Amino acid sequence: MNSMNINDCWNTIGIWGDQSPRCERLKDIIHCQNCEIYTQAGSKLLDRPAEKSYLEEWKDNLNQPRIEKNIHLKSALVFRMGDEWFALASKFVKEITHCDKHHSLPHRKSQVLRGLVNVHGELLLNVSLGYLFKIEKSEIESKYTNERYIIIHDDNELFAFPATEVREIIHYNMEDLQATPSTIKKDTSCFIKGIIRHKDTDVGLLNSDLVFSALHKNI
Amino acid sequence: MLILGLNVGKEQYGVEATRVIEIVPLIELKKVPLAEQSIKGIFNYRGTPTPVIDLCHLFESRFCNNNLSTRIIIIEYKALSGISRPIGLIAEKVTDVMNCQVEEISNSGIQVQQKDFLGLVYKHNDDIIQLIDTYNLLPESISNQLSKHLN
Repeated sequence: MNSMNINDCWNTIGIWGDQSPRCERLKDIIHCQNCEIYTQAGSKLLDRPAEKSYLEEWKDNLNQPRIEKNIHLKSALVFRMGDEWFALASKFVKEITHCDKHHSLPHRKSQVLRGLVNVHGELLLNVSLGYLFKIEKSEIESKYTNERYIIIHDDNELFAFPATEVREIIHYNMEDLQATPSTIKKDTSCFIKGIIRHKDTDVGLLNSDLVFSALHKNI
Repeated sequence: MLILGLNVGKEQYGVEATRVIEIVPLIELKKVPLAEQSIKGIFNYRGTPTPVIDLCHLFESRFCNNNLSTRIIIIEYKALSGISRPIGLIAEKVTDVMNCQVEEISNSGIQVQQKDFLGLVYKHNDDIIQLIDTYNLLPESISNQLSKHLN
C-alpha cells in the first residue's frame, strides 16, 4: 500500500485511543463510526488502484451463476451458562445489560426465582435458567467471566436471568437443526429443541414455549 | 428513496437504488472492436454476456480512472426493441448510498437532449446531485448497438 496521509485520530484521541484531551466531537456523536472524518478516511482508502489479483478473483467469481441465498433464516441469541452454550429465538430477547442491583425476596418457594433486579428503574423478576436446567457453575469461568443479564419476555411477563457470557446473534436454517444427543442430561435436554453447529460450538436451541411455561410455573 | 451516489470526475450524480442489480469492481473487460467508444467492453456477468458503458467517456470523453472506488454498476436496461437485459455502467467513487425524501427531489429546469435522462435533481447538504434516469441514459448510437437479442 502506498503511503497516504491519513490522520488516524480515532486511534489517538478517538474511540480506539487513550490520549487526552479526548476528541470534542465524541460528546455528540458517541462513536468515531458516526464521524465524517472517519468515513472520509475510509473512502480515501478506495482512491488507489486495485490490485490485479483482486480483480482476477472477482472475474472468476462473476463467471459463476449467482447462489440464491436462503432467506428463510431464523435468528437466535447465543449465550453460555456454565460450560453449556444455548440459543434463544431473538424475538423473545428484549435487552442485554449489566446489572448489579439485586434484591432477594423473603419466603420464596422456588430456587428458580432468585429475587428482583432493577433494570432502568423497573423491577424485573430475576430467574435462574441455570437452576432450571440443572447446570453447575463452570470451574474455568472465574477469570473470563463476563456475566450479563439477558432480559427476555413472552406475551405477559419480563424475566431477567444471568448468563455467564453472551456471544452473538446467529442465523440458522430449520434444516440445520440436529437432534439432541442422548448424552445431554435429561433435565437440560427436555428444554432443547435441537442442536445448531456454530463455529465449532454445539449450541442448544431452547424450546421457548417450554422455558416460559416452566418459568411461569416456578414463580 | 435510496439513491446510489457516483461521480464522473468532480460532478456528483445519483441512480435510484431500485434500478441497481449489483455493484462489482472494475474487472478486465473484453474489448469489442468497432463498437461505440463509450462501450468499454463486455464481460461474463453470472452467465450473461454483459456490455459495459463508461460514463466518464459518455459525459466527458475520457475513461474512468482505475481506482478501487471506480466500479461497475449493473442495471437492468430496456432497449428500444423492447428487450430487457443487464448492462454495466462504469463510474467513479461509487461508495455511498443516500437516503432522500421525495420532497427533496425537484426538476432541474433544463432539458439537454430529446430524451431527458438528467431531468431531476436532489438537494443533498449544500450540493445538487443530478439523478440519472438509466432508462433514457444512452444515446441512440449506443442503444442501437445494444438492442440485439440474446441467444
